[in-house]
Amino acid sequence: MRAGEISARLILTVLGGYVLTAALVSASVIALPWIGLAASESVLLASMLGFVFYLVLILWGFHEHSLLRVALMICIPAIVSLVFVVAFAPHVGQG
Amino acid sequence: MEPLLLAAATAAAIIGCALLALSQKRHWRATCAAVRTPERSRRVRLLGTASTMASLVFCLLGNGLSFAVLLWPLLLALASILVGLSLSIAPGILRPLAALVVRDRT
Amino acid sequence: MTWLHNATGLLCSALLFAMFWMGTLSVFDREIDQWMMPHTRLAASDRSISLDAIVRPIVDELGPRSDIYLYLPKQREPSLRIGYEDSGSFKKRYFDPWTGKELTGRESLAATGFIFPFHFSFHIRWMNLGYWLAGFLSMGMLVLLSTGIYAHRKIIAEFFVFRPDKSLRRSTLDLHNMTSLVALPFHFLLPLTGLFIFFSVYLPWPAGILFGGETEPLFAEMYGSRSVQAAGRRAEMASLDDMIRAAESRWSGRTGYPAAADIVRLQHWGDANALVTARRVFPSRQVAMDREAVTFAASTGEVVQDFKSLPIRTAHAWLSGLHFIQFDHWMLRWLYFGAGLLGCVMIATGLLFWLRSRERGKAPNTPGFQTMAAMTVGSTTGLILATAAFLVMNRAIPHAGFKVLGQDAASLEVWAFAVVWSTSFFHAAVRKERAWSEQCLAIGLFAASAAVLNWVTTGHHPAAAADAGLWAVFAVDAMLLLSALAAIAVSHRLQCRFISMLQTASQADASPVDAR
Repeated sequence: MRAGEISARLILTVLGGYVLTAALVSASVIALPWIGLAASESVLLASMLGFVFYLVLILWGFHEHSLLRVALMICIPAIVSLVFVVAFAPHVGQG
Repeated sequence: MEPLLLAAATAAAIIGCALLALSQKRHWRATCAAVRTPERSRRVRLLGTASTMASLVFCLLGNGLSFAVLLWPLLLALASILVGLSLSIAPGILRPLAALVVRDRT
Repeated sequence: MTWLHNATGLLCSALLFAMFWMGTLSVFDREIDQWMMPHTRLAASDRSISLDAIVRPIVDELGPRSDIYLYLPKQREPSLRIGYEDSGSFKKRYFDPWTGKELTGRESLAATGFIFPFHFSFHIRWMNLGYWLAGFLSMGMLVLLSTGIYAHRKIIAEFFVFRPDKSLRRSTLDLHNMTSLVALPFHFLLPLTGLFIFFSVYLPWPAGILFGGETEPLFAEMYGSRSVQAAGRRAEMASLDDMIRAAESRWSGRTGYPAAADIVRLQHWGDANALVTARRVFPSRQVAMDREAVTFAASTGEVVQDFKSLPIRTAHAWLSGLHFIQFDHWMLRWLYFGAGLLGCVMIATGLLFWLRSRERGKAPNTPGFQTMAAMTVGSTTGLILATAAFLVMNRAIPHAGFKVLGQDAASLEVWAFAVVWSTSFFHAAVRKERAWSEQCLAIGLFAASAAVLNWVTTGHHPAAAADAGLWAVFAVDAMLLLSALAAIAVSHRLQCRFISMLQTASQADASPVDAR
């Protein structure tokens, strides 16, 4: 792999993957209570699964041949999740 | 945490790992006088698996599920290291076990 | 995938070794604490203590505080510990649990204050960067394990293979593979559960989203923590013993065996709104930690909350407890220690293998190789040596109140660690191949000195310690002496190998015709 491609994959999977993981976990934390899970339980479940997801994502990011595919599979779900989070975050203001 | 069950679990793990190692071509040649046939190696492997399962049972009986889940894999790790080091430094240690399990019926 | 394994390994191994080493030592942190702070060396006892008789006088004297923590005596920590915030820092004081007399002596960060926090934060607290570094390295460890397995997919065949008689390069790889395979679940679960434990550091946003930035309601639901404002007026406090006994009987009813409280939190003690929360943070017969808490109104002694964790939190508690290993199970504790050491060997042999693979040809003369070589020595034997220096400095300054250049004894121990560790890198850069043998020898000498100094300064040589029931001291001394023997033996072996290497090299130079 060329140095440029290595850097691109690193930034995409490690940094972009982290953003995607954080976004998905946040989205899950909003969505899971809708199916009856308590708030603290959602936070824990989503966070724990998030770490495993992040690991798999990093491994996949270096295993997948097409760099474009990696970029798309990270950026698009990240944007969608972030939009979801911004749209549906419960506005519980306590200070 | 009954000491007897713990000792039994440890012993069963060591015997099990030793047998599983012996069933492999490389280690069989180093410890066993008998000829290695697919049938014999399968039998040794079966005995080894049975011994490691017995170790799990001893762990469960003495410690309950929660602790056994942690204890058993670590006992297997200890057993594997001991067996691995024995095979590399002094394979003779495992010859009696091999002789016991594989009888040469030529 | 092999490329990813190598790259991640080169980047992370040095600090990962540090995490594994400090983590392995932390398995016995309470024991090392007793060794480093002789005034806390009490023989363990099963007698229950009276909090009203012993703790009330101490706590009443402390005056109004928002939080006071009582750490009740346990098998591995026989003294009573009381902790509270005092002018910006958290103070820990030790007391004899049956006389209430304060145990004062040589202050030291010891294992729980230095070794254990080093493991999860490298003592870098600024903006939680130390925690982030630990998290990054933990993810790196998981990537290393996954890519390592993938690279050695034929693992079953190689499981028991270790060939010390083959080339150094081959046997290093064998040892690397074996130490990683036999304890693979351990090596994988420890970093993963470590991440789970600090989830709120690595993924802080979910809490913020749900409760508008307030973590209090979240943690109340998760951990049963309660907050309270001081009323400002004093009130008579109810019996602490009664409250703790009430909590314990509730728990014992559920578990079927006697359950003991281990951490008690006093909020605004002496105030009308004061709360007392009794917890079973580290149950002795359970893997899951900190699942239950009973909160009392301190002025009346009535139960205000009987908390039991929800299912997913219980799973999280079990996974966290798997990492903390504070339960009573000596075989398991020693197995964890052994597996941790295997992990250290795994990381070190990984680095060594990389070095050995590049030893032929022009590689050894490049600055990159030489840097990695020095880094490898410094971050492995150098780190172990620095830890030994930490212990030696502890016993070399036996008296409390000793200061040099404004640094107290506890700080001097850390200085010893830092100076020795930094020096080991320079030593490795200068001495190159000989550095291994020399540092091993130094480790042997330091470890032996630590044990001897313990005898000289406290009179507790191993036999005396065993006699007095001070098994923690006995065990630490025994490990120090065994390590010293092992280190010196290894040093000797490395020295012999180095000399024979020089001989073969000089023979090749002397008679180029014959060597062909």
